[in-house]
Amino acid sequence: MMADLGFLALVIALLVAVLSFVIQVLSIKTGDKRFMESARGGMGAIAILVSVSSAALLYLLVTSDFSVLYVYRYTSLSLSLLYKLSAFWAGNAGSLLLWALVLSIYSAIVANSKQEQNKKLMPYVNLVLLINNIFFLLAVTFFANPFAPTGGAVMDGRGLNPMLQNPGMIIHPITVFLGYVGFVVPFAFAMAALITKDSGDLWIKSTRRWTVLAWLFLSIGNLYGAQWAYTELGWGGFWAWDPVENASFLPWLTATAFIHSVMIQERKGMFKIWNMALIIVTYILTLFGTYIVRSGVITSVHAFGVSQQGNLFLGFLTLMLFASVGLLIWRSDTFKEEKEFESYLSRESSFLLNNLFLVGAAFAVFWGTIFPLVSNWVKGVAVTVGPPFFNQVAGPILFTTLFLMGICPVIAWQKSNFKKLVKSILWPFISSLPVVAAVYFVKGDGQIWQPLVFGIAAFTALVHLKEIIKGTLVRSKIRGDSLFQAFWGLVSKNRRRYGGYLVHLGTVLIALAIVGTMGYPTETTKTVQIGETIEIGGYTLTYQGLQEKMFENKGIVYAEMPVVKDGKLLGSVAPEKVFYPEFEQPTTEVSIMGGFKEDLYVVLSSWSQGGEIATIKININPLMAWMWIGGYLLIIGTLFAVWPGRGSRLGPRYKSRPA
Amino acid sequence: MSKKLKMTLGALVIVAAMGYLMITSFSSSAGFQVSISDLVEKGSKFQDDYLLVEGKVLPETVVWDSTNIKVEFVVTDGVNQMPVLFNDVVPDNLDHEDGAEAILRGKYDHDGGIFRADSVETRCPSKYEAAED
Repeated sequence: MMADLGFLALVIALLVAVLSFVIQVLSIKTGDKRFMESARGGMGAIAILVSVSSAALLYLLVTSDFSVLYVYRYTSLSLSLLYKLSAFWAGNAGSLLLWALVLSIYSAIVANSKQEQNKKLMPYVNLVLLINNIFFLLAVTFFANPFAPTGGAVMDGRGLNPMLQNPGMIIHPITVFLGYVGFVVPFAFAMAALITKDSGDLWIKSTRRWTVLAWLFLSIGNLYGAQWAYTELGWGGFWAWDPVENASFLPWLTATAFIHSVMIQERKGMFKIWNMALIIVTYILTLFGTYIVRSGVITSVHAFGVSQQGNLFLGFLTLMLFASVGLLIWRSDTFKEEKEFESYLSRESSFLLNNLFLVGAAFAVFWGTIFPLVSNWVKGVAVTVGPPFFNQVAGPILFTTLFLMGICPVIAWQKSNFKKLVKSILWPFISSLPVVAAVYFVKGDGQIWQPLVFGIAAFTALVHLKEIIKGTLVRSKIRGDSLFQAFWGLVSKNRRRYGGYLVHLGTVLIALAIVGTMGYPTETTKTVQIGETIEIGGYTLTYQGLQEKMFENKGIVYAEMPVVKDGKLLGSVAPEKVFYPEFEQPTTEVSIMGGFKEDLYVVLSSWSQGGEIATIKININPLMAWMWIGGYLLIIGTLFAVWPGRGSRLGPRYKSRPA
Repeated sequence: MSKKLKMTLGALVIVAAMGYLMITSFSSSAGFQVSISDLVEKGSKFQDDYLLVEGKVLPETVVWDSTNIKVEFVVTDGVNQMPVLFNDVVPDNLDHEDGAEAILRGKYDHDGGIFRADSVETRCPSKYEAAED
């Protein structure tokens, strides 16, 4: 019954979407306001219907209705409530429904927002949104129906695989989707601007918050994915350059470039076509991401075998790509750059560099990801590239971008004075040199790239901190405010800038975690007897045998091991193997003793003779914690920058200088 | 030279540098994606190449040696079987009773008829399954 309701709601939603599309076209042709109102109402209705359908699926999952195939495959009676709910997106069909849900809600919000200045664009914005809604509803209804019946009597479900029973499962997919889908909004506005030949930046201004929030969700999604892999999988790392991981990293790179380059368009009226192209690429990359996962055309641990769905997504992706690029070329003469480059020592040129680097990195990652497909097509043999390729190419490019990040805050718009610029970065630069030397000599392994990155991180952080401190001191002196008042006054008057600085600082911390764990990895695997110790990186762990306990309905085998460093007992780690009721294979639960300096990462790999002997794998991950700390700063900084209200507005449009 | 020309040249230099980076990194880490049958039947052709292979693990063949920290197992593509040696711990799900799908990276020793893997990944479980059973 509920399953029928869920499916019916989807079918009606699809019909409403098609109908709304037709009505919207009519509203454009006739200019009749009532058609516009109808279409708007239609989009609201779609959101309600898809919500009803989603609620139905949730109900089926929570009540364990195994007559529905999806519920059977991904849940079981003994599964906790939280995971029964998050099983919603455990499989293909449910995750497509999630996409459709987010899309329909976003579309309804956009269509019903009362922005008077967007009046001319809105009909076309709605058309683009409706095309997307129609596609995803089609995909769910005809190709991946979450309400399909099991077709037989079943007593219990298969259960959610243990690796997915992790908080990451709850947060990662949702945030990634909130991010991915969010980019359809600026894309729709861009298309509307092209169609209506609006060469101004209304489309950018109207969607700025959408773009930044979508970027934020994608950032959170990527960070949570990394954390999930780190704490769940037990291989000690957080990123493997797997095609699906790359698929969520690519739009992040281009969106970051976009967020920066639109600032140039807003101030100087430059880069109009480039910005259009960037948002098109970002949107297409989100479609590409979902294509990779569901088609299995590229070998990945996150994707499965080839299915007809893959072609469906490829078709839609190709259609949207050709349509948007075609539109851009057709309307390209509408765009006139307002200003020109005055100097290559200016914020404009540094943003151009930033874009070149980020898009270059995206291109390299994209190329590395699809290379097996291309080489197979061209040469008949699939050539793959592994992590070394991505690390060797993306690494230098992104670390150079990190250095650029340190120069941007102090470089002026239009034309910067070289002497002044050098003066403002001089002492941060000089201060970073001892950092390079210190890391090089302390770590002493002869490699230079890690110390360089530490130096860059120090430089960039110092430039940002210097700007904040300088601003605070000046303001305090002029106004007689206390330091705290001056600081708060400074940042709240220009939240966009200082929020951005905080995001940059967060990024520096994330970069530190990356260079720490990937630059100085330490690892050991040892088979030990009871009483034996393992030594690594100054830590001594003693294997004391195995113990068992029950938690909820799971059987846990764990090895409690005291950790001693420099003669002091720091505590103990207890890596586990967890036996879930429906699964024969236990899953690994990593034990992490984390600190600001490093993470002690311990895995209980296997054992024999009842625990007399066990194999333990230990990693030391320097500075890993800073990835999560940096992530939080990134979130706070972004929210601070876009929170509505005073202080979040852009500075004035740059006026021409008198000749 | 006009400013615009200088800018363009500068941008091109940077693009060229990134392109160079890409090309040189390619040769150091590119591998061929081959099937198990390719290796078993024409193994000598790929003797020194870095390879990527997928296959289904035969669960009863998984042998873990805790003293030497290595695991040996056999994978199949439905037509041919191939033994694998991996000098590390057994990844989760590798000995799954249904036969885990493994993604292997490494080199094929044609004389010994064994694949020496330096990376073994098992697929993310029960996600987007295309083959509905």
